[in-house]
Amino acid sequence: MAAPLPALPDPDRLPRRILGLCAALSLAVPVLLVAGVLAVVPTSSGGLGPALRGTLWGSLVALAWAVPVGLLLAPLLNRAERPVLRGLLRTLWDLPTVAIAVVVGRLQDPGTLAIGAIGLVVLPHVALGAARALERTPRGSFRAATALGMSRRRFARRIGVPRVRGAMTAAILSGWARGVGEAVITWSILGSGALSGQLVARPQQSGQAALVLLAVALGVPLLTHRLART
Amino acid sequence: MIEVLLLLLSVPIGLGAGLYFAALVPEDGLRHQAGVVVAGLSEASPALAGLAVLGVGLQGSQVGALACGWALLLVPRLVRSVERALAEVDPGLQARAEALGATPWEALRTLVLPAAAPRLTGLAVRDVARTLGELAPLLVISAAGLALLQTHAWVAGAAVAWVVAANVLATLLEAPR
Repeated sequence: MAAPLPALPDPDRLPRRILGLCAALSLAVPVLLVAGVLAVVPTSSGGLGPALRGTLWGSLVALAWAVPVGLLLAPLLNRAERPVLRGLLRTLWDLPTVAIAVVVGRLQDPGTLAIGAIGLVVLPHVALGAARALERTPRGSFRAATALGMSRRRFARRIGVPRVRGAMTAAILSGWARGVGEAVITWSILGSGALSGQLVARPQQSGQAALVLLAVALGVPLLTHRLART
Repeated sequence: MIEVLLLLLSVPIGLGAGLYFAALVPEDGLRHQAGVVVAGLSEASPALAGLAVLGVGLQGSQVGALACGWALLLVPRLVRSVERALAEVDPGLQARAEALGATPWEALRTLVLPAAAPRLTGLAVRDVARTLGELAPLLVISAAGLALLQTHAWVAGAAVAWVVAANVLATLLEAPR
Protein backbone atom coordinates (compact mmCIF):
# COMPACT_ATOMS: atom_id res chain seq x y z
CA MET A 1 0.00 0.00 0.00
CA ALA A 2 1.37 3.40 -1.03
CA ALA A 3 2.29 5.85 1.68
CA PRO A 4 -0.09 8.82 1.95
CA LEU A 5 1.10 11.92 0.17
CA PRO A 6 2.50 14.62 2.44
CA ALA A 7 0.12 17.50 2.95
CA LEU A 8 0.94 20.57 0.87
CA PRO A 9 1.84 23.68 2.84
CA ASP A 10 -1.02 26.16 3.02
CA PRO A 11 0.18 29.32 1.21
CA ASP A 12 -2.42 31.41 3.06
CA ARG A 13 -1.27 30.33 6.48
CA LEU A 14 0.90 33.33 7.38
CA PRO A 15 -1.47 36.11 6.20
CA ARG A 16 -4.41 34.28 7.75
CA ARG A 17 -2.57 34.09 11.07
CA ILE A 18 -1.59 37.76 11.01
CA LEU A 19 -5.13 38.88 10.17
CA GLY A 20 -6.48 36.43 12.77
CA LEU A 21 -4.23 38.06 15.37
CA CYS A 22 -5.62 41.47 14.41
CA ALA A 23 -9.15 40.07 14.75
CA ALA A 24 -8.34 38.62 18.16
CA LEU A 25 -6.92 41.97 19.29
CA SER A 26 -10.03 43.77 18.02
CA LEU A 27 -12.16 41.61 20.31
CA ALA A 28 -10.57 43.51 23.19
CA VAL A 29 -12.75 46.49 22.21
CA PRO A 30 -16.12 45.10 23.36
CA VAL A 31 -14.43 43.48 26.36
CA LEU A 32 -12.81 46.77 27.44
CA LEU A 33 -15.99 48.77 26.83
CA VAL A 34 -18.14 46.43 28.88
CA ALA A 35 -15.51 46.00 31.61
CA GLY A 36 -14.89 49.74 31.83
CA VAL A 37 -18.55 50.65 32.07
CA LEU A 38 -19.17 47.88 34.60
CA ALA A 39 -16.28 49.17 36.69
CA VAL A 40 -17.98 52.56 36.93
CA VAL A 41 -21.45 51.18 37.65
CA PRO A 42 -20.93 50.29 41.35
CA THR A 43 -20.03 53.89 42.17
CA SER A 44 -23.22 55.24 40.60
CA SER A 45 -26.00 56.25 42.86
CA GLY A 46 -29.66 56.71 42.07
CA GLY A 47 -31.03 58.61 39.15
CA LEU A 48 -31.58 55.49 37.07
CA GLY A 49 -35.30 55.96 36.44
CA PRO A 50 -35.25 59.62 35.36
CA ALA A 51 -32.04 59.13 33.38
CA LEU A 52 -33.45 56.11 31.56
CA ARG A 53 -36.77 57.82 30.91
CA GLY A 54 -35.01 60.99 29.77
CA THR A 55 -32.69 59.10 27.41
CA LEU A 56 -35.47 57.05 25.83
CA TRP A 57 -37.83 60.02 25.66
CA GLY A 58 -35.20 62.32 24.17
CA SER A 59 -34.13 59.80 21.54
CA LEU A 60 -37.74 58.94 20.61
CA VAL A 61 -38.83 62.56 20.25
CA ALA A 62 -35.69 63.24 18.22
CA LEU A 63 -36.61 60.28 15.99
CA ALA A 64 -40.11 61.73 15.56
CA TRP A 65 -38.73 64.71 13.62
CA ALA A 66 -35.51 63.24 12.21
CA VAL A 67 -37.05 60.14 10.57
CA PRO A 68 -39.66 61.96 8.43
CA VAL A 69 -37.13 64.62 7.39
CA GLY A 70 -34.53 61.93 6.62
CA LEU A 71 -36.98 59.87 4.59
CA LEU A 72 -38.00 62.98 2.64
CA LEU A 73 -34.36 63.82 1.91
CA ALA A 74 -33.49 60.27 0.79
CA PRO A 75 -35.25 60.42 -2.62
CA LEU A 76 -33.63 63.82 -3.24
CA LEU A 77 -30.22 62.27 -2.64
CA ASN A 78 -31.17 59.32 -4.80
CA ARG A 79 -32.77 61.18 -7.71
CA ALA A 80 -29.70 63.03 -8.91
CA GLU A 81 -26.10 63.70 -8.00
CA ARG A 82 -26.32 66.14 -5.11
CA PRO A 83 -22.78 66.44 -3.80
CA VAL A 84 -23.51 69.45 -1.59
CA LEU A 85 -26.47 67.93 0.22
CA ARG A 86 -24.71 64.59 0.52
CA GLY A 87 -21.53 66.30 1.74
CA LEU A 88 -23.51 68.30 4.30
CA LEU A 89 -25.16 65.16 5.64
CA ARG A 90 -21.83 63.30 5.77
CA THR A 91 -20.24 66.20 7.65
CA LEU A 92 -23.16 66.20 10.07
CA TRP A 93 -22.66 62.45 10.50
CA ASP A 94 -18.99 62.97 11.35
CA LEU A 95 -19.53 65.88 13.74
CA PRO A 96 -18.98 64.95 17.38
CA THR A 97 -22.25 65.35 19.25
CA VAL A 98 -20.54 67.27 21.99
CA ALA A 99 -19.87 70.06 19.50
CA ILE A 100 -23.56 70.30 18.59
CA ALA A 101 -24.51 70.04 22.26
CA VAL A 102 -22.15 72.82 23.32
CA VAL A 103 -23.47 75.12 20.56
CA VAL A 104 -27.07 74.31 21.46
CA GLY A 105 -26.23 74.76 25.14
CA ARG A 106 -25.41 78.42 24.55
CA LEU A 107 -29.00 79.02 23.46
CA GLN A 108 -32.05 79.33 25.66
CA ASP A 109 -34.16 76.37 26.75
CA PRO A 110 -31.47 73.69 26.39
CA GLY A 111 -33.81 70.88 27.49
CA THR A 112 -35.97 71.19 24.39
CA LEU A 113 -33.05 71.99 22.12
CA ALA A 114 -31.27 68.82 23.23
CA ILE A 115 -33.86 66.93 21.25
CA GLY A 116 -32.85 68.99 18.26
CA ALA A 117 -29.21 68.10 18.88
CA ILE A 118 -29.94 64.36 19.11
CA GLY A 119 -32.14 64.63 16.01
CA LEU A 120 -29.27 66.24 14.11
CA VAL A 121 -27.19 63.16 14.93
CA VAL A 122 -29.96 60.78 13.85
CA LEU A 123 -30.91 62.65 10.65
CA PRO A 124 -27.88 61.78 8.45
CA HIS A 125 -28.09 58.12 9.49
CA VAL A 126 -31.69 57.91 8.33
CA ALA A 127 -31.27 60.00 5.15
CA LEU A 128 -28.06 58.35 3.90
CA GLY A 129 -29.18 54.86 4.95
CA ALA A 130 -32.53 55.23 3.21
CA ALA A 131 -30.81 56.67 0.10
CA ARG A 132 -28.52 53.64 0.01
CA ALA A 133 -31.57 51.39 0.29
CA LEU A 134 -33.27 53.19 -2.61
CA GLU A 135 -30.13 52.92 -4.74
CA ARG A 136 -30.34 49.15 -4.43
CA THR A 137 -33.76 49.01 -6.07
CA PRO A 138 -33.29 47.89 -9.69
CA ARG A 139 -34.30 50.82 -11.91
CA GLY A 140 -35.57 48.46 -14.59
CA SER A 141 -38.28 47.08 -12.34
CA PHE A 142 -40.10 50.45 -12.23
CA ARG A 143 -40.00 50.78 -16.01
CA ALA A 144 -41.15 47.18 -16.46
CA ALA A 145 -44.01 47.62 -13.98
CA THR A 146 -45.23 50.85 -15.56
CA ALA A 147 -44.95 49.29 -19.04
CA LEU A 148 -47.25 46.54 -17.81
CA GLY A 149 -49.80 49.12 -16.68
CA MET A 150 -48.99 49.42 -12.96
CA SER A 151 -49.53 52.85 -11.41
CA ARG A 152 -46.76 54.62 -9.48
CA ARG A 153 -48.71 54.26 -6.23
CA ARG A 154 -49.34 50.56 -6.77
CA PHE A 155 -45.67 50.02 -7.71
CA ALA A 156 -44.57 51.78 -4.51
CA ARG A 157 -47.00 49.73 -2.39
CA ARG A 158 -46.45 46.31 -3.96
CA ILE A 159 -42.80 46.37 -5.09
CA GLY A 160 -40.87 49.49 -4.05
CA VAL A 161 -41.63 49.70 -0.33
CA PRO A 162 -41.38 45.91 0.38
CA ARG A 163 -37.98 45.88 -1.32
CA VAL A 164 -36.47 48.66 0.75
CA ARG A 165 -38.43 48.17 3.99
CA GLY A 166 -35.74 46.07 5.68
CA ALA A 167 -32.87 48.36 4.77
CA MET A 168 -34.83 51.48 5.76
CA THR A 169 -35.74 49.93 9.10
CA ALA A 170 -32.06 49.12 9.54
CA ALA A 171 -31.16 52.75 8.81
CA ILE A 172 -33.71 54.03 11.35
CA LEU A 173 -32.52 51.52 13.97
CA SER A 174 -28.92 52.49 13.37
CA GLY A 175 -29.85 56.14 13.78
CA TRP A 176 -31.77 55.44 16.95
CA ALA A 177 -28.86 53.40 18.33
CA ARG A 178 -26.57 56.37 17.89
CA GLY A 179 -29.23 58.72 19.23
CA VAL A 180 -29.54 56.70 22.44
CA GLY A 181 -25.77 56.57 22.85
CA GLU A 182 -25.35 60.28 22.19
CA ALA A 183 -28.32 61.25 24.37
CA VAL A 184 -26.27 60.43 27.48
CA ILE A 185 -23.58 62.99 26.74
CA THR A 186 -26.00 65.56 25.29
CA TRP A 187 -28.23 65.49 28.36
CA SER A 188 -25.20 65.58 30.62
CA ILE A 189 -23.77 68.68 29.01
CA LEU A 190 -27.08 70.48 28.60
CA GLY A 191 -28.80 69.23 31.73
CA SER A 192 -26.22 70.49 34.19
CA GLY A 193 -23.56 73.12 34.27
CA ALA A 194 -20.98 70.75 35.77
CA LEU A 195 -19.33 69.43 32.65
CA SER A 196 -19.84 72.53 30.54
CA GLY A 197 -18.48 74.56 33.46
CA GLN A 198 -15.29 72.54 33.33
CA LEU A 199 -15.14 73.05 29.58
CA VAL A 200 -15.31 76.81 30.10
CA ALA A 201 -12.99 76.78 33.10
CA ARG A 202 -10.18 75.00 31.30
CA PRO A 203 -10.13 76.49 27.82
CA GLN A 204 -6.39 75.98 27.37
CA GLN A 205 -6.58 72.26 28.02
CA SER A 206 -9.88 71.34 26.44
CA GLY A 207 -11.23 74.20 24.37
CA GLN A 208 -8.26 74.68 22.08
CA ALA A 209 -7.75 70.93 21.68
CA ALA A 210 -11.43 70.57 20.85
CA LEU A 211 -11.19 73.33 18.23
CA VAL A 212 -8.13 71.79 16.56
CA LEU A 213 -9.67 68.34 16.55
CA LEU A 214 -12.95 69.72 15.27
CA ALA A 215 -11.15 71.55 12.46
CA VAL A 216 -9.46 68.29 11.50
CA ALA A 217 -12.75 66.41 11.65
CA LEU A 218 -14.38 68.99 9.39
CA GLY A 219 -11.46 69.59 7.04
CA VAL A 220 -10.37 66.05 6.23
CA PRO A 221 -13.74 64.82 4.87
CA LEU A 222 -13.96 67.92 2.67
CA LEU A 223 -10.44 67.30 1.39
CA THR A 224 -11.26 63.64 0.75
CA HIS A 225 -14.36 64.67 -1.15
CA ARG A 226 -12.34 67.02 -3.37
CA LEU A 227 -9.67 64.39 -3.96
CA ALA A 228 -12.29 61.82 -4.89
CA ARG A 229 -13.73 64.18 -7.51
CA THR A 230 -10.40 64.93 -9.21
CA MET B 1 5.41 53.01 25.32
CA ILE B 2 2.32 50.80 25.19
CA GLU B 3 0.19 53.90 24.63
CA VAL B 4 2.28 54.98 21.65
CA LEU B 5 2.11 51.46 20.20
CA LEU B 6 -1.66 51.48 20.66
CA LEU B 7 -1.92 54.83 18.87
CA LEU B 8 0.19 53.57 15.95
CA LEU B 9 -1.23 50.06 15.67
CA SER B 10 -4.94 50.82 15.91
CA VAL B 11 -5.24 51.49 12.17
CA PRO B 12 -3.52 48.26 10.97
CA ILE B 13 -5.33 46.23 13.65
CA GLY B 14 -8.71 47.62 12.57
CA LEU B 15 -8.03 47.08 8.87
CA GLY B 16 -6.60 43.58 9.43
CA ALA B 17 -9.50 42.56 11.64
CA GLY B 18 -11.96 43.91 9.09
CA LEU B 19 -10.33 41.90 6.29
CA TYR B 20 -10.33 38.78 8.43
CA PHE B 21 -13.97 39.06 9.49
CA ALA B 22 -15.23 40.15 6.06
CA ALA B 23 -13.30 37.88 3.72
CA LEU B 24 -11.61 34.97 5.44
CA VAL B 25 -14.28 33.71 7.85
CA PRO B 26 -17.34 31.61 6.92
CA GLU B 27 -20.52 33.64 7.21
CA ASP B 28 -22.35 31.22 9.45
CA GLY B 29 -19.63 30.77 12.03
CA LEU B 30 -19.04 32.10 15.52
CA ARG B 31 -16.06 34.16 14.32
CA HIS B 32 -18.29 36.01 11.88
CA GLN B 33 -20.69 36.81 14.72
CA ALA B 34 -17.74 38.15 16.72
CA GLY B 35 -16.99 40.41 13.77
CA VAL B 36 -20.59 41.64 13.74
CA VAL B 37 -20.32 42.53 17.43
CA VAL B 38 -17.06 44.45 16.92
CA ALA B 39 -18.41 46.27 13.86
CA GLY B 40 -21.63 46.97 15.76
CA LEU B 41 -19.67 49.14 18.17
CA SER B 42 -18.74 51.47 15.32
CA GLU B 43 -21.61 53.76 16.33
CA ALA B 44 -20.79 53.68 20.03
CA SER B 45 -20.78 57.10 21.59
CA PRO B 46 -17.52 58.73 22.71
CA ALA B 47 -19.26 59.09 26.08
CA LEU B 48 -19.17 55.30 26.37
CA ALA B 49 -15.51 55.18 25.42
CA GLY B 50 -14.88 57.92 28.00
CA LEU B 51 -16.68 55.87 30.62
CA ALA B 52 -14.66 52.79 29.69
CA VAL B 53 -11.41 54.75 29.93
CA LEU B 54 -12.53 55.97 33.33
CA GLY B 55 -13.51 52.45 34.34
CA VAL B 56 -10.20 50.84 33.41
CA GLY B 57 -8.39 53.47 35.47
CA LEU B 58 -6.62 55.48 32.78
CA GLN B 59 -8.11 58.86 33.66
CA GLY B 60 -4.89 59.92 35.37
CA SER B 61 -2.80 59.63 32.22
CA GLN B 62 -3.70 61.88 29.30
CA VAL B 63 -1.70 59.80 26.79
CA GLY B 64 -3.12 56.56 28.16
CA ALA B 65 -6.69 57.87 28.00
CA LEU B 66 -6.05 59.22 24.50
CA ALA B 67 -4.60 55.92 23.23
CA CYS B 68 -7.27 53.77 24.84
CA GLY B 69 -10.12 55.99 23.62
CA TRP B 70 -8.58 56.18 20.16
CA ALA B 71 -8.40 52.38 19.90
CA LEU B 72 -11.88 51.86 21.37
CA LEU B 73 -13.48 54.25 18.88
CA LEU B 74 -11.39 53.62 15.78
CA VAL B 75 -11.01 49.83 15.56
CA PRO B 76 -14.77 49.03 15.29
CA ARG B 77 -15.23 51.81 12.73
CA LEU B 78 -12.42 50.44 10.54
CA VAL B 79 -13.86 46.92 10.79
CA ARG B 80 -17.25 48.24 9.63
CA SER B 81 -15.64 50.28 6.82
CA VAL B 82 -13.70 47.30 5.46
CA GLU B 83 -16.93 45.29 5.44
CA ARG B 84 -18.76 48.07 3.61
CA ALA B 85 -15.99 48.57 1.05
CA LEU B 86 -15.65 44.85 0.29
CA ALA B 87 -19.43 44.46 0.03
CA GLU B 88 -19.46 46.91 -2.86
CA VAL B 89 -17.06 44.78 -4.94
CA ASP B 90 -18.54 42.23 -7.36
CA PRO B 91 -19.15 39.19 -5.12
CA GLY B 92 -18.35 36.79 -7.97
CA LEU B 93 -14.80 38.13 -8.36
CA GLN B 94 -13.32 36.16 -5.47
CA ALA B 95 -15.27 33.00 -6.36
CA ARG B 96 -14.11 33.13 -9.98
CA ALA B 97 -10.49 33.66 -8.96
CA GLU B 98 -10.66 30.75 -6.53
CA ALA B 99 -12.25 28.57 -9.22
CA LEU B 100 -9.23 29.34 -11.41
CA GLY B 101 -6.85 28.14 -8.70
CA ALA B 102 -6.10 31.22 -6.61
CA THR B 103 -6.08 30.83 -2.84
CA PRO B 104 -8.55 33.03 -0.88
CA TRP B 105 -5.74 35.36 0.21
CA GLU B 106 -4.32 35.62 -3.33
CA ALA B 107 -7.78 36.46 -4.71
CA LEU B 108 -8.30 39.01 -1.95
CA ARG B 109 -4.87 40.63 -2.33
CA THR B 110 -4.64 40.77 -6.12
CA LEU B 111 -8.27 41.33 -7.17
CA VAL B 112 -10.73 42.26 -4.44
CA LEU B 113 -8.55 44.68 -2.45
CA PRO B 114 -7.42 46.74 -5.47
CA ALA B 115 -11.05 47.02 -6.57
CA ALA B 116 -12.14 48.10 -3.09
CA ALA B 117 -9.12 50.32 -2.38
CA PRO B 118 -10.59 53.73 -3.35
CA ARG B 119 -13.76 53.27 -1.32
CA LEU B 120 -11.83 51.72 1.56
CA THR B 121 -9.34 54.59 1.64
CA GLY B 122 -12.13 57.17 1.69
CA LEU B 123 -13.99 55.41 4.47
CA ALA B 124 -10.85 54.86 6.53
CA VAL B 125 -9.84 58.52 6.27
CA ARG B 126 -13.31 59.61 7.34
CA ASP B 127 -13.15 57.20 10.28
CA VAL B 128 -9.81 58.60 11.41
CA ALA B 129 -11.09 62.17 11.07
CA ARG B 130 -14.29 61.48 12.96
CA THR B 131 -12.40 59.71 15.73
CA LEU B 132 -9.98 62.63 16.02
CA GLY B 133 -12.95 64.93 16.39
CA GLU B 134 -14.43 62.83 19.13
CA LEU B 135 -11.24 62.53 21.13
CA ALA B 136 -11.76 65.99 22.62
CA PRO B 137 -14.99 65.16 24.47
CA LEU B 138 -13.55 61.80 25.41
CA LEU B 139 -10.50 63.45 26.98
CA VAL B 140 -12.70 65.91 28.84
CA ILE B 141 -14.95 63.13 30.13
CA SER B 142 -12.15 60.81 31.18
CA ALA B 143 -10.07 63.57 32.76
CA ALA B 144 -12.88 65.44 34.48
CA GLY B 145 -13.77 62.68 36.87
CA LEU B 146 -17.18 62.35 35.28
CA ALA B 147 -19.16 62.81 38.47
CA LEU B 148 -22.20 63.59 36.41
CA LEU B 149 -22.00 60.74 33.94
CA GLN B 150 -21.43 58.26 36.76
CA THR B 151 -25.06 58.72 37.70
CA HIS B 152 -25.90 57.72 34.15
CA ALA B 153 -23.66 54.66 34.20
CA TRP B 154 -26.53 52.18 34.10
CA VAL B 155 -28.00 53.98 31.13
CA ALA B 156 -24.61 53.95 29.45
CA GLY B 157 -24.33 50.20 30.08
CA ALA B 158 -27.78 49.70 28.57
CA ALA B 159 -26.71 51.87 25.65
CA VAL B 160 -23.74 49.54 24.96
CA ALA B 161 -26.14 46.59 24.85
CA TRP B 162 -28.56 48.55 22.69
CA VAL B 163 -25.88 49.68 20.23
CA VAL B 164 -24.65 46.10 19.81
CA ALA B 165 -28.17 44.63 19.53
CA ALA B 166 -29.44 47.27 17.11
CA ASN B 167 -26.42 46.92 14.87
CA VAL B 168 -26.64 43.12 14.82
CA LEU B 169 -30.31 43.48 13.87
CA ALA B 170 -29.45 46.12 11.27
CA THR B 171 -26.81 43.82 9.77
CA LEU B 172 -29.33 40.98 9.58
CA LEU B 173 -31.91 43.25 7.95
CA GLU B 174 -29.42 44.56 5.42
CA ALA B 175 -28.27 41.05 4.40
CA PRO B 176 -29.37 40.12 0.87
CA ARG B 177 -32.23 37.64 0.72
